Amino acid sequence: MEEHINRLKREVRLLKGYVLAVLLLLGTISLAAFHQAGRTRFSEIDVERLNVIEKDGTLRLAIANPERLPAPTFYGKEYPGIRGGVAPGNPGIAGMIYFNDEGTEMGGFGWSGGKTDDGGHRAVGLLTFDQYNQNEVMALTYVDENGRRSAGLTIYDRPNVSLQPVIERLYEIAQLPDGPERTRRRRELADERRERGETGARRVYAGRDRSKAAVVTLADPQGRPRLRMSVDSLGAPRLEFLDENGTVTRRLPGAQ
Amino acid sequence: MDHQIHRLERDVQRLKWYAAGMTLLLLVGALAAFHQAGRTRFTEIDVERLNVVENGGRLRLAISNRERLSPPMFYGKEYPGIRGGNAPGIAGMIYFNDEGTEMGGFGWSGRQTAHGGHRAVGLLTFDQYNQNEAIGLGYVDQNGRRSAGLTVLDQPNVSIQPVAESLLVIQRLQDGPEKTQRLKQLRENLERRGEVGATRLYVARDRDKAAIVSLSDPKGRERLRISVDSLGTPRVEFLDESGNVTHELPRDIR
Repeated sequence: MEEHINRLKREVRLLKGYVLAVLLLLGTISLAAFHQAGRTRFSEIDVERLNVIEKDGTLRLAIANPERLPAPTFYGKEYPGIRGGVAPGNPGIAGMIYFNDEGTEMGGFGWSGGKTDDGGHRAVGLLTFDQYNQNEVMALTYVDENGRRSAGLTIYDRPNVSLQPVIERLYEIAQLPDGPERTRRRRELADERRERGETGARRVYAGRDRSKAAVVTLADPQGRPRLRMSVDSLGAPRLEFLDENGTVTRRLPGAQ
Repeated sequence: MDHQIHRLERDVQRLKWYAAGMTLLLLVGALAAFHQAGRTRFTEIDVERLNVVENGGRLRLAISNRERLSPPMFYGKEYPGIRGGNAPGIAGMIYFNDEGTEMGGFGWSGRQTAHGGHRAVGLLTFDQYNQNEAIGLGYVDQNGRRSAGLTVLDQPNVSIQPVAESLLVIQRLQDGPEKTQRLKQLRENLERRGEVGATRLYVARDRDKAAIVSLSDPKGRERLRISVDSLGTPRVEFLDESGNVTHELPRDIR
C-alpha cells in the first residue's frame, strides 16, 4: 500500500516537472511569434499575391499571379472587368500594380507569354507609369504576336481631368449583358471622349516597330506624327518632317 | 482510502496520456516550423516592407510603403534624410549591389496638395557604381506641369560616399543661413572639381509640352535636339558649346 502511494507520488512529481517544461517552451515560442510581428525571416516564400500596404492599410503595391492582380482602382475602389488593351491584370498577365498615396492606380509592371491554340505564340512585357488620376503617361512595352512584334518606349499626353467618371461609366456598361446595347454605349462613350479631346495623344515613340523599322517618332499635342527618324527593315535611314495631315513636307536625305 | 487511491491512479494515468499527446503536438509543431525555414507557401500576404537578403543577411532589395522606404546606403551604412530630387515621399523599391550599396530605385507617389493642386512622381533608375543614377525613367507632375521621359547620364568616376557623409552632417543642422551656406559650398566644390553628373540623352515630353530627343556632350551641354514643340512645329537643331543653334532643319535643307 505504502509502496503504491510512493509510486503515485513520484509519477505526479514527474508530471509536474513535465508541465513546467512545456509551459516554459510554449512561453518562449509565443514570445518568438510575437517578435515575428516586427520582422520575420524566411528563406523562401511562395505567394499568389503580396501586398505592400501603408500602416493605415492603404494598398501601395500588389505583386500577384494573373488571377489575383487587382482591377483598376480609384481612391481604393476597384472596378473589375474594364481593363482594356495590354495591361497587367488582363488575362494571363502576371506582375505588379502600384498605387499612389491616395490608393489610386499609378501603373503596372507585367509580363506574359505562351503558345496559342493555333500553334503560334503571344508574349507581352510592359512597365508603365500613369499620369495622376489618368491613363499611362509613359510605357516600356514589348508585344509579340507570332513573331510580329514591337518593343519600345512610348510617352503620352493625357488631359488634366480625372479618369474616374469614365471608369465609372465603363464599369456600368460592363454590367450590361453582351449585345448591341453594350457595344453602342461603349462606342458612344469613346466618341464623347474623342470629341472632348480627352483620349490623350502619343507624343514620343522610340522603338523597333511591327514593320521591323527602328524609329523615333515625335508627334504634336494632337498625336499627329510630325517628325520621324527611321531605319527601315531594308536598312534605309531617313529623316522626315510631316505636316498636320501626315504629308511628308521635307525629307533627308533628299531625292537625288 | 482505497477509493481515493484508485481515483489518483486514474488521474495520473490520464495525465500521462495528456503528456504524451502534448509531446507529439509539440514535435509536429516544431517540424512544421522547421519546414518554414525552407520554403513557405501563402495565398496572400500584407506587408509594410519586404527585404530580399543574401544568405549572410546582406540587403539586396527592399520593397516598402512610404514610411519604411530604405534610406541611401553605402557599404551597408545607412544615410537617413539625405535623399534628394524627386525620391522623397515615394513608396516602392530600392535595390543594392553586392557590396550593400544602393544601386537604384523603382518608386511612385501621387497626392492632392493644398489649394486643390497635385503632385505625382514615378521613377525607375539604375545608379552608376558608387554614384548617382546612370539611367532613369521619370514622370514628374506638379499641378499638371509635367515631364515624362528617359534620361541617360554620365556621372564622375569617383565614389559619392564622401558627399553622402557631408550631406549627413549638414542635414542635421537646423534650417537657416548656416545650412544653406554649407549646402551651397558643397555644391560649388563638386562643380569646381567637375564631379557633377551630365545628362547625355533625354527622350521625353518635357515641361514645355514639347516632344524631344536631346543629345548632349560630356559636360552636359545640349548639342543636338530633335523636337516637336507644343504648337506642333518639327525641328532638328545643332548647337555649339554656348548653346547657339548653328544649323537648323528643315530651315537649312537645301
